[in-house]
Amino acid sequence: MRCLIVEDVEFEREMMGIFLSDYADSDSADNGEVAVEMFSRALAEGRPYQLVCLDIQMPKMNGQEALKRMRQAEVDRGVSTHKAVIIMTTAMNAREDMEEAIWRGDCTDYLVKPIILADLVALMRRYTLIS
Amino acid sequence: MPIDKTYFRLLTDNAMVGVYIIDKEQLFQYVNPALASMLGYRPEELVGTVSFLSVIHPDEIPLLVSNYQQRLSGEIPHSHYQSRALHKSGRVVTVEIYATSINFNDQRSLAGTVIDITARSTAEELLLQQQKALELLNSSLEQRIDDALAASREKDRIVMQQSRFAALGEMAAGIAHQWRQPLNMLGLSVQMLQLTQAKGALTNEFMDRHCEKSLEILKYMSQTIDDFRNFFSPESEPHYYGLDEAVERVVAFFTCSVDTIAITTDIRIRSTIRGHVNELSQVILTLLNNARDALLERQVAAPAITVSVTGDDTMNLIRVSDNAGGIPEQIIDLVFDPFFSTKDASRGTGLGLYMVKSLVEKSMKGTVTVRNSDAGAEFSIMLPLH
Repeated sequence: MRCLIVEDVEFEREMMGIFLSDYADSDSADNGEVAVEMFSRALAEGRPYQLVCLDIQMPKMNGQEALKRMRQAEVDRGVSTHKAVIIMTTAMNAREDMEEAIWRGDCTDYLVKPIILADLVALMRRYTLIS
Repeated sequence: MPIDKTYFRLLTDNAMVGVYIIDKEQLFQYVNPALASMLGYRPEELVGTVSFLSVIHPDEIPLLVSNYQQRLSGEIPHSHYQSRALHKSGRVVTVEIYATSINFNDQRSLAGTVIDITARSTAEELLLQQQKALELLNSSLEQRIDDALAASREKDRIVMQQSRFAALGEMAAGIAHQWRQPLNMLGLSVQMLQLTQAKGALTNEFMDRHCEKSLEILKYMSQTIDDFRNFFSPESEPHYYGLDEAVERVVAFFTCSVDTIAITTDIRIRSTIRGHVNELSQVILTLLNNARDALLERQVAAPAITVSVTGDDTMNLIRVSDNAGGIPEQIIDLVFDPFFSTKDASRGTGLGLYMVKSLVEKSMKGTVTVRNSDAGAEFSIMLPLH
């Protein structure tokens, strides 16, 4: 499994990376712009990310905008099945926004910070990224 | 040289005031045309047959009879008084009488002159009534002003309370926001320690690093609480503080909560002022929060806020400007009004800028203005030095 961690706080990015290294080959990006570029390139190169952990509040391009562009990149590439599991991580109390994004079909699920790693594992299991 | 009686008769018959003679039988012996007409009669209807009491208002009869007798007996030679007569039609005629005793046909009689002062006394009464009404109005006006003032004070109190609640709400939201990130780091750190230990991969170096990081985060969180408490706790006494320092502190505090906006401070002067530093903090924080909301809502490409402090010998000038495109001209005059907000009800109370204006004008004795620059809104706070 290939995984992309998008998070502007270095310590969190590093911890998530170490944690997910047990489950996936993980890359990381510190803002939305870089993340969209990496996501699109991976699609183009035929080795797409199956899991994206996407923070919402980030400099340059925020998570919501990055989410839209990633889904658009999938549409542009004609990906209709096996879309990436995109889990938004948020420090804001933005459950309503998240539910709406899920309802629209943009984001797969979300985790509110502080993140409990067991919850992340449960989500990976739910979306059959791991057994 | 004696004057011919006919001259006197001519004079009294043509006098503008009423003239009468009453004998000791209380009968009119002479009534001039002016008096007769004042009472609605012809002179011949009154003379010789009519008691003067029949043309007097019943309430005045006792006084007039007593006057009549006192003058007839010579006790009082003459008297000048006001009374009420009755017109033939029954209408009351207010009169002023000057009466004296005379010898008429060798009999002691009374003569007098009468002026109709009904109009004057009606006017006087009207004036009195109006005066009373005015006094009543005055006293009720005072009451009404008191009531209005009380209502206004009550409204102010409610507004202050609401703004306090709003500030508390923002404080809670601020703490939540400020803490989620460090809490997440702490959480991840603790979980990673446990996982690494479980895998048997826990090294001293890893442990040290996590402990160090955790303590750093805890210190930051503790500092956050102090900052919040300092911002919102009321100070009763004004004290001296450095304006530049205070502004820098608020900006630093605000910068913690926004990482996507470029915030520049441009402080040109070092100035000490006297007052409540928290009020200044609240004012600047409100302006910064509004700028942030506008920048995020309008999704400005390179969002930026500039805070500058300049001044001269007479005043300090704090400017907070953004590049969010400005405030629409049709509402720019309304932004300081209480309960005016462009944000939806869940986000804006409409009290932020109202409180800014109140604090700047009432407490800091300064002025706050807003204008649109080429890039966006620009708020200027002018604080006089003395």
